[in-house]
Amino acid sequence: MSTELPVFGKAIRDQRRGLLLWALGIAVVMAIYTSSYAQVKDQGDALDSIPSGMAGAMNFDDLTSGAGFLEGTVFGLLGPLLLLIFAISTGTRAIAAPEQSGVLDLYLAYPVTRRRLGLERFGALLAALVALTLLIAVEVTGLASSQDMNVPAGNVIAGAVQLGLLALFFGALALCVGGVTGSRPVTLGATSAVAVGTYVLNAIASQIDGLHFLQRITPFYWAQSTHPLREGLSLGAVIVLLAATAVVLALGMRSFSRRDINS
Amino acid sequence: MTLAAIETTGLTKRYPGGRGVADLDLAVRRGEIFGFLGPNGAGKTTTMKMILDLIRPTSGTIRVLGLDPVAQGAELRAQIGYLPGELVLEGAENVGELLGFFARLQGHVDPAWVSELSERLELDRTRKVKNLSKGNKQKVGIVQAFMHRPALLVLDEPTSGLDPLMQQVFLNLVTEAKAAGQTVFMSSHILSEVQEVADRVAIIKDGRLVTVGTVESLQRQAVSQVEIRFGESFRTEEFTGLAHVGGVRVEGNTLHCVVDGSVDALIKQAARYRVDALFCHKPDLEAIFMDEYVKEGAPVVH
Repeated sequence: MSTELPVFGKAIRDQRRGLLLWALGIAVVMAIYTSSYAQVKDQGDALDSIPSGMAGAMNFDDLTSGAGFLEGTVFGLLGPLLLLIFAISTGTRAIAAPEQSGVLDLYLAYPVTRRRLGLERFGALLAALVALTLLIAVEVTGLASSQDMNVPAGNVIAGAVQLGLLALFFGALALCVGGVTGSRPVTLGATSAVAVGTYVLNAIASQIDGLHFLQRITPFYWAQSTHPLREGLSLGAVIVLLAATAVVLALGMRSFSRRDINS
Repeated sequence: MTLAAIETTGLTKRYPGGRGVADLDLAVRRGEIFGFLGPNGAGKTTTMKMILDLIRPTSGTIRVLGLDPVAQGAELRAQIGYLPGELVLEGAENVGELLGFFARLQGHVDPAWVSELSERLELDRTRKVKNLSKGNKQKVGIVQAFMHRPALLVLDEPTSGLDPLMQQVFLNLVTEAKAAGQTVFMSSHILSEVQEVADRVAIIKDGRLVTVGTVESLQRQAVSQVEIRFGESFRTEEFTGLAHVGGVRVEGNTLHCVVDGSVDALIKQAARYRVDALFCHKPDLEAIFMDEYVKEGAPVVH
């Protein structure tokens, strides 16, 4: 085994083209949504017609302030949607998809341990998400200042970082489910179900007194309901999301190292 | 350094569907070409995957190059070249880039040897991997298996998809590997190619070892088919019950039978009559294989 990271290198090369398209798509969506702030601000009255419970659940309760607008749109809805789709599909391609196609048999016949293969592929996911997070942070900081949103650059960066960590967790979860099952549809389905389920749970629990504690078991609470755009980076959120990522990654690698490779 | 390249005792892999291997005792010596024969689903691929630690045995032990595939897998696989039976290649790269990735993953690969292998197999390294035909993919698989001159080559159905010319190039590579002291463990159902190069062969059926031996010893064990055309009529009873003779069948003045050992008694009996012609079919490995495949509960001969 060489001292290079051959699996990481190949994963980066394989995802280069796709990543570029994702970056382009995310950049365009961010630009379109952020640019609509001026109109939304002017139509502030119209937004009062949204029922307050729903507005709260959807993070729409403060769309006329710059921070509230960003939390409700790019950081609360479209950013997570796009980044999670990217992370879950990339995490599925780490183990489950190549195992199901059979190509993993060949790679694992080389002097690389399964743990190392999984971690190098996680590294490629991490690198891609760092790039996308950086893109979002830079682009939205620029757009926010041009639109007079009055959101400090540090808070935009905090929002991007917490969003990136949210995606990293779900990417790691996909890698973990792939490591446990080796099945592409199961991995895609289970991970997406957890994402949708915890998103809904966080939204509903936030509206019911006495159930707020349930929010804390969802990654969306830590990424979004700690309000990084208003409050700045939440160290607690960063720690919880990183720890959760580490735990699912460790569980996935443990199971992956111990089982038979499907054929 | 232990003598055996591959040594299994009581190796068993059970699957819910009943496939797998049972109680496999196998010893492949260092430096030999060992053919592993059997019909599809007999357990050849399962055995090979246990050598590479892609799957784990249910019970029994397995040592490969003196190492334990489960505990010392990465160290062991550095010394193995593997060609999967169902080879899948992926990526947007061209062949040369993919081979570069395999070389980095392996560690110590001589680029000049990779070039030579590619040229001998007439593999175009500028082609995109995803556009390759099955035969060309198989060539990539062969190059990556041989590229680091491994101590042990584990080749699962290596010639599938190759045209006869390339099959010969491949067989030359295998013979050269043996000459260089490498061990070759290859499975096949194209038996003639194994017959040509293998020092010994094992036949596996339904997950159980049926027989192991040299090609010659298996041919000796196997029955010969004998046909004698007499120039006069003869009495059938004189030929039934002779030592090593069975399956007597008569068509006019022609006698058909099978002989499972010395033909002495048959020849001496036949010499009493005028013999116009005598044919003796020495079975090739394929016939032996089919015979073993058909025979139930055949004894295991080492």
